[in-house]
Amino acid sequence: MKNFKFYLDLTSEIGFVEESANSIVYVSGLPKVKTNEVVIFETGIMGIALSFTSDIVEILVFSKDPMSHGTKVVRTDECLKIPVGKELLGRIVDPLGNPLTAIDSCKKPITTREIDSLASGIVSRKTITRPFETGVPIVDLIMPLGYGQRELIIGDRKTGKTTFIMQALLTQAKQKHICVYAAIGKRRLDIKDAEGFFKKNGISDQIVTVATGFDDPIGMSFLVPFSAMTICEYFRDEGYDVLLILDDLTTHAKFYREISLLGKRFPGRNSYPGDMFYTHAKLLERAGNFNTPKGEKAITCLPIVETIQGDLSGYIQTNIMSMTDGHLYFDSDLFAKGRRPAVNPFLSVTRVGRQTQSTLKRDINREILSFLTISEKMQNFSHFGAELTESSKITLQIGEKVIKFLDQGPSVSMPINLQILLFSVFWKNVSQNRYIESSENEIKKMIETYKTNLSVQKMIDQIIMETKTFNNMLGLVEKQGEQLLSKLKS
Amino acid sequence: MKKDVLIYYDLITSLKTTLEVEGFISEIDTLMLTFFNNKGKTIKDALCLISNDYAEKITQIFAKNSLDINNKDTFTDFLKILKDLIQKLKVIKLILAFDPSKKTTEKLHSFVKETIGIGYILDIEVSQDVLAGAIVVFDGKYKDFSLRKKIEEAFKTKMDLGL
Repeated sequence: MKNFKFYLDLTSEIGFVEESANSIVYVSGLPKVKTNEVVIFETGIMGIALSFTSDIVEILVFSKDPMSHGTKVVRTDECLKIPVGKELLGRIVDPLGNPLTAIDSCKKPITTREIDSLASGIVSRKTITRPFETGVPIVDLIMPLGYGQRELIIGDRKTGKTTFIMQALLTQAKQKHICVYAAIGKRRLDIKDAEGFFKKNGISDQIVTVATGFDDPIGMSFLVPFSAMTICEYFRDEGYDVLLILDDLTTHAKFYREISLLGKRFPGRNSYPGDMFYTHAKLLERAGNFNTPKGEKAITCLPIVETIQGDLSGYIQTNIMSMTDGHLYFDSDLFAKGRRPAVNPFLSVTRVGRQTQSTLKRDINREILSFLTISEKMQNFSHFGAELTESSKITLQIGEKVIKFLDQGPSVSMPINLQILLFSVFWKNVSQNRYIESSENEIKKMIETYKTNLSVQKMIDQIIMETKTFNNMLGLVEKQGEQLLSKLKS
Repeated sequence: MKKDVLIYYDLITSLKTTLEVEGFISEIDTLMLTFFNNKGKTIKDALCLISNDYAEKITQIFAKNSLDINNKDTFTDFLKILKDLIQKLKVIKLILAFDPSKKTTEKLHSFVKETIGIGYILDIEVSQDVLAGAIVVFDGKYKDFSLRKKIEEAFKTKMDLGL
């Protein structure tokens, strides 16, 4: 961006600050200003025009510096643009593309892109057909996702949402997909922790972090998801599949509510503005599976929403549920019981994920879900203190084992084919009334072998690709299971 | 009270700059406060508190329009309407390199009156940075007719040409 004087000469229009309320400033003058146009104050501070009347322009400023009455403002005749490019990979930037860490002194991308662009039309969209791997068995096997899906991550605070998100990021980044992590109004320590996680796992060069702290100007925090989506669109057009994490949209809604109330807009439900739904829908509509000149590319979006005491019926929660293609519910009760991740499969939904699954995966999905339903029902029934039959006791025991199998520690990412194989082996053992529990170290070892030993990986992948049904898979495991496991453990 | 704005014409057109307007508004406020604080005071006593020039002009307007200057209600209404009208005057900001004399200010104001009509006042700011000429700011529009800009443009053209 050029300076104040340049734009003053260019547009020959000027405004003067009349009133200031936190991040909202009211300015007189600027007769030809447009909404979303960038304005520059004589102090160098930037802002965007939110709305205007015949004599006053409402401006959202991106600074916390106090604004004095009479300060001069000029319009720029430009919409808000951010620098985008591969230079952003591995960096933490603010929503205007400025680096947040001191070491980020490397060059800024030259290409710029408008932050507030329209979502692609129906013609450029494609049905979601490719399975998306998170590396978490309970999600990949029970609540599968697809590339381009918008899946809401919902739950109380401290229920393991961020841990799951990090696992998904790890899995995707390891597969050389681009990931964009949008941290909206987070504690700086949390942003630093995320950066540490990316560096520790060697994936930081695949990730762009767009972040604001909780003490940053509200205007900046409001821009974070839009800015992150713009970066995603750039990488999509460059021919990458992109994963976007929006952490979190409840905080974003609160920032937008603050802006609207300061802007004297009429408050609606829970004091949120009337266009709250529109704002989030406009954002999430930009994700999806697209037909681009570089082939089928997707922006998979995982927005996070926080609930209070498990209440799923909140305003923002229900809004975003209706915009997304399903949700993963992180249950605080399950978390307290020690389930990791604490995804409640009965309260979670995936609307398009199952259509991406092969027949084998769909078979497994059905098998686990139907078994878990029975087991859950029996568990509820057993609470009444009724005497259980032997078969019911067995079902409950197996249910517990299935749940234990689905448990996974943090920073572990299990490839989907390995998940299928291990589950098949586990199921076969269970059906034969045998249960050999694998320790976390053993599982880590197997994952490592699968990832590093290409011949073993190829063999497992081949078996899973050729097997059509779960019954066939169980038959195969009967014959070769032990051999495969020993190879994985070696 | 007659609400015909024409009775205020002479007073309003006599105001040329924002400084004059500010001074006149403070005189009006003084008059209004006098009636509010001291109900027994006559209008003539109150007019003694403000500048002779404005007191005379107000008295003349009342005489010319056959209004009762001793009626406090009429007088207060007159002041209120006058203040409202003055506050609605539009400001043309001029940034000049010199401090204009009274005569120059009058010339400038009469030029504005002839060109765009009444209801405008001048806000004159002195900045020697402009060197000569003027910068005009009005209704959000900014026009730089200063010598500084001309020189800058000339330098830029020469630099572009590599001279």
